[in-house]
Amino acid sequence: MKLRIFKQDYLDRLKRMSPNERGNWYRKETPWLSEYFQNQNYFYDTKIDLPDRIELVREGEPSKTDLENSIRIYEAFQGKINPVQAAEERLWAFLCHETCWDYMMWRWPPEKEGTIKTRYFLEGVGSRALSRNGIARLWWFAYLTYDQQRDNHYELTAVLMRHQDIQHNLIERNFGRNRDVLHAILEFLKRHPETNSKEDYVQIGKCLNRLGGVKVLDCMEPAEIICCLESKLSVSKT
Amino acid sequence: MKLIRKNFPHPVLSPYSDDIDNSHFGCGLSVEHDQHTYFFKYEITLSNSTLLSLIENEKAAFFVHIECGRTFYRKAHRIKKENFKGGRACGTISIPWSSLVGSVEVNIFACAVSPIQEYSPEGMHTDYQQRKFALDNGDFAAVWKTSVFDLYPAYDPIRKPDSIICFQLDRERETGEINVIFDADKLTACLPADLYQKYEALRSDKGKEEIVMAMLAIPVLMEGLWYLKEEKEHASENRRYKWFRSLEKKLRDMKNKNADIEEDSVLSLAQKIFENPYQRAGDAFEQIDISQQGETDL
Repeated sequence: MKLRIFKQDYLDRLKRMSPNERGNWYRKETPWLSEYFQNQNYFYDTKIDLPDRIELVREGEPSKTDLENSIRIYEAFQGKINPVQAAEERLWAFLCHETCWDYMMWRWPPEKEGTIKTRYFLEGVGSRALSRNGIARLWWFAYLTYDQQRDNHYELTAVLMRHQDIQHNLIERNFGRNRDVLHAILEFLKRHPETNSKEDYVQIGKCLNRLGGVKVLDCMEPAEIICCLESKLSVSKT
Repeated sequence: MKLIRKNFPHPVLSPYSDDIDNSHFGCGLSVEHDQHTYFFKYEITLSNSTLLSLIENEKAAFFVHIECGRTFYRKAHRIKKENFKGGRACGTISIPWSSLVGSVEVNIFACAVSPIQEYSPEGMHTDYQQRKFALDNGDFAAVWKTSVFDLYPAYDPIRKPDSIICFQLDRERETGEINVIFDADKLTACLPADLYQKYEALRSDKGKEEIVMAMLAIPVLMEGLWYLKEEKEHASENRRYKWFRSLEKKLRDMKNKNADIEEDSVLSLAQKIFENPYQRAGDAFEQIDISQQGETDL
């Protein structure tokens, strides 16, 4: 199956749908774009090959499926898209509305305007928008945390997926864009499972933000960052 | 990473402060590209004996820090000591196109790369009373102004109006005026149902294409040109829209060909961009006239 993406005009049209109209279309149980666009050609076939089906887990507690689904999405796309392509709203919005519609309806029920804007499209242009879109977040979380050097390449992905507050406090802050820094923080969390509350994650975010105000975190060794967090957050040193 | 006017707990050489006198830290930066790679070309000059010695002894180093908000790219590229001679370093950092898009921030600075005890740089302001500071790995020693580049892999040339303008049905309105939407990849003219129906009918007739353009596309393009002029201060933000980049590029090209675009009205600019559309519309009218006369004659 070729990867499909929206034509920009059609995506723009979809984004401008009125809330009333949205109420009708986003209630449908099966993909509806073809009907909405009256069989017009609203997408491109790219040259990128995908597996015929991307089967995502849709059972149990929704947030608990994020890790497994993140790995599935990442592996379906592995080596096929680059970060610039993966920043494309046309790609993720199409997957959300068509290819992965069933999953989206289950994981992010489109009941509120805000949910549709942030989870089915990209709201804004920054990395925050990518970390909120229902499918883009799965790819990016795995991409940013995948570590070839570890026996379990997704060990750090699992740490990131433990709690949505970890994602908000790390990925949505500027320092989280540096892969080495991000990996160091996740390694810290892995070594300190007792650091597991929302307040702890907020503290880590604040602490690194303060530190990044006077120091260049990107120039520090991962071990130094871990050591710094251990001393600032008063946890036992490893 | 924003380095604007930060107050550091130790003296830092920068254009924003007088922490260190009689010294100089300056950087020149430009971006070029080929088909696959962006080349960040830097030139750094430094005159301060303490900092020069720290860099020579690899206690401090220069970094070019590149950050892209859309692709999660954030990396500090360390400049090798060998590239720094006689207070000057220049070189190129190459990054694939596939890693950067949109607004990219670049900072150049020097920071400690190992602990520095008793840091007391030459020319330190007298307010510091000759105090000595301890710097750790990652502490800033010199910072330069942040540069921001808008990087996009391609500019769509404006060949035909539909490369930057699209007309669409406004499902909410039966009748009324045309509204233009700017925050989309094309300048989008939203037509109420009655007008859209007429537009569709006209458009399907090849012979009337030029007339449609003169009637509808020119005013929409004028709106776009106004927007471009009015929103000059927010150009960086608007460059995410393809139409904005394409129009900017077109105006730049016209300027390079010595066209006096600053003095031109938006109407005049729009006609130049679409290359004499009213003349072509007039010709199309004549053709319609001739063919209708032919029908009458028959």
